[in-house]
Amino acid sequence: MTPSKANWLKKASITTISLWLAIFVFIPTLLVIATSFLRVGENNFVIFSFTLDNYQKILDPVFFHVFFASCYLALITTFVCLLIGYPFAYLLTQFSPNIRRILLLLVIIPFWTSSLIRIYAIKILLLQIERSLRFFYPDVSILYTEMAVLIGLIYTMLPFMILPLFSTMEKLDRRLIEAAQDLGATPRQTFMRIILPLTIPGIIAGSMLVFLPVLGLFYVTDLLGGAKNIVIGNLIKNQFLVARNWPFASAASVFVIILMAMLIFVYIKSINRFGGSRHEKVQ
Amino acid sequence: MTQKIIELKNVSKSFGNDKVLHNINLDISNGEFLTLLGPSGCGKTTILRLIAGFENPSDGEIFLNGEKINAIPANKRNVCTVFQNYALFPHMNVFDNVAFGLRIKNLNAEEIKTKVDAVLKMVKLENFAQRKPHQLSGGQQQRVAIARAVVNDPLVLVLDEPLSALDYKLRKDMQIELKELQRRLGITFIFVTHDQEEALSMSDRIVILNNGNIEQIGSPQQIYEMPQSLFVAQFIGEANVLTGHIEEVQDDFIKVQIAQSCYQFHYTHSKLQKNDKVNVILRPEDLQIYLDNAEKTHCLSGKITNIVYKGATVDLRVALENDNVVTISEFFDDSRHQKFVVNQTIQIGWADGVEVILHDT
Ligand SMILES: Nc1ncnc2c1ncn2[C@@H]1O[C@H](COP(=O)(O)OP(=O)(O)OP(=O)(O)O)[C@@H](O)[C@H]1O
Ligand SMILES: [Mg+2]
Repeated sequence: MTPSKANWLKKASITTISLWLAIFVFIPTLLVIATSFLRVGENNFVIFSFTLDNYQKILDPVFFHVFFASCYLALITTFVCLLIGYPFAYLLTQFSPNIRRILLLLVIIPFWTSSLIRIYAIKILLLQIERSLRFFYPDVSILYTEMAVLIGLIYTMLPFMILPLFSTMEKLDRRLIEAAQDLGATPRQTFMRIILPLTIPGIIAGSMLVFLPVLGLFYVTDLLGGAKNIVIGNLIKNQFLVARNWPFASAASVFVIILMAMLIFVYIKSINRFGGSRHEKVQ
Repeated sequence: MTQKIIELKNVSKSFGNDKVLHNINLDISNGEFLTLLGPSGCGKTTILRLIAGFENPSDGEIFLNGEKINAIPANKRNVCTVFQNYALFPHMNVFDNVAFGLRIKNLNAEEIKTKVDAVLKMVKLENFAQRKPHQLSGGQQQRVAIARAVVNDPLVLVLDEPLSALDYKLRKDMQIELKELQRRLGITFIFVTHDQEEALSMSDRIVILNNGNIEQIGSPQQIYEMPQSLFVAQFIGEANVLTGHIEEVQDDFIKVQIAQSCYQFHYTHSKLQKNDKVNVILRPEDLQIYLDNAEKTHCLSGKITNIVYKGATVDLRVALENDNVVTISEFFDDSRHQKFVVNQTIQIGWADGVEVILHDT
């Protein structure tokens, strides 16, 4: 490729991406922020007069209940994903590169189908399991329980935990593990003192990638939880589409955005701190 | 007789169908500085990894201090490794890196501090204890790696090309420091290097490996002056190889026909017979050039093809009558060497006994 053509391509793609981000992320976010300071209008839209009422409403116990409930759900999901994802990712790194690639592909393949459709599939699956189980235990219920919601969330989010964990573990220098053994460390000590600290960036990244989206995954709770367990995403969606209270929905959104920004800030700080093998000097 | 600290008995190692070590037999004495030397891929690292416990031999036995250690995992062997790229723990500072092994052994904090401080002082890093590895220069990282190993008082320290990442000057300094350290600690060092000069200057004994076989074991002087094979002769230092065949074998000398001339060498081994093909090895620094045939018993004549001034020495390339080219290295002497020019016909001579005669197999 000639330099001028490469340059042209580079400019074109940067422009496209910038426009895309501006139109679909930046401007909508600004609109949401602006809306959060407006009043609800009679005809279900907004009145252009400044107010902080919407933010005051966030402090309402009802809202806070939803907020904590969804944080709780997100936390459990993150924890279980970590519990499954960590050994899974570690196992992946133990295979030869070729097999690794195939297994990694298997982790990614579900993304080729819309997660909404996959949740419908899970719903049907859970329904079938529930029916079969009822032959033996007539009282059992799976669908529309917190358990069903968790299963759906964990299923949806697990790859987001595995992938960053895998990438930090893959970068982990095997010689560090050998060095620890060489100095007398048992496998357990090697794990606690070397592998775990050096994979903290992956743990944090994976946890962020799971925790934050779960707060907004309203369709999982809708479909599998029967609207009993709701996350902030449900609340925002309902306020926008059902209650038509755009200003309050916007304020709630801004609240979540700020929360996420803070978590991402903590993430970046901790990445710098636990810099890991990234810092190793290449001679 | 010094005590054997490590013994390899008929050790072989295969990776899949690829046999990389063939029946290695090697005894290492306590307190020795032993160097493994050989071309890339000959199995040096593999031998170290077998001794450290990161690989298991496919065949044969390994003894540490008289005890068979084939089945003992790396963390239970009193052998420490200095890795080629140091493998320092990036999330720990220098102190914690060095203290790692002691903490594993559950020593109390005070004792750890005393020991680590002493070792850091020994490698002149007492002011760097709080730095992270990435804040250190290559040479400093190297010292941390050594400190981290020796602080555990290992019976044996294995070092895999520990100096290869350092620049020439630092490398020379570290060679001397490492050798001094080894002498002071009295620990057995098993050292791997690519660099023959390094091997010759540091080792008590050198093991020359080729393709997973031991070619020769001996002191640096034995290896250099009495190579047992053409491979060793050519791998260590520069060697002029003259091919010829035996004309006559007597009790204390042999006559060898090289090109058109016949040479008589002092030789008392009984291995050679008339008409055997031999290689006569001559080191460049053992050869001298003369303007005329000054009644030397050993003389080759040839034409100078190249003169390379190297500061303290001068290298002369001489094409012999049979088109073989030999290199002669002499101390540079202005008044002497200005007499020689390219294309001049000269004589090459050497003193009795400097040659090595090897049966050509
Ligand atoms: N884990 C492994 N799997 C397969 N083959 C291996 C493995 N480790 C080493 N080998 C092979 O064994 C042979 C010896 O390797 P080794 O690392 O011991 O060489 P070396 O002498 O240390 O070389 P260098 O000087 O390049 O470091 C090489 O041919 C190498 O390809
Ligand atoms: Mg090697």
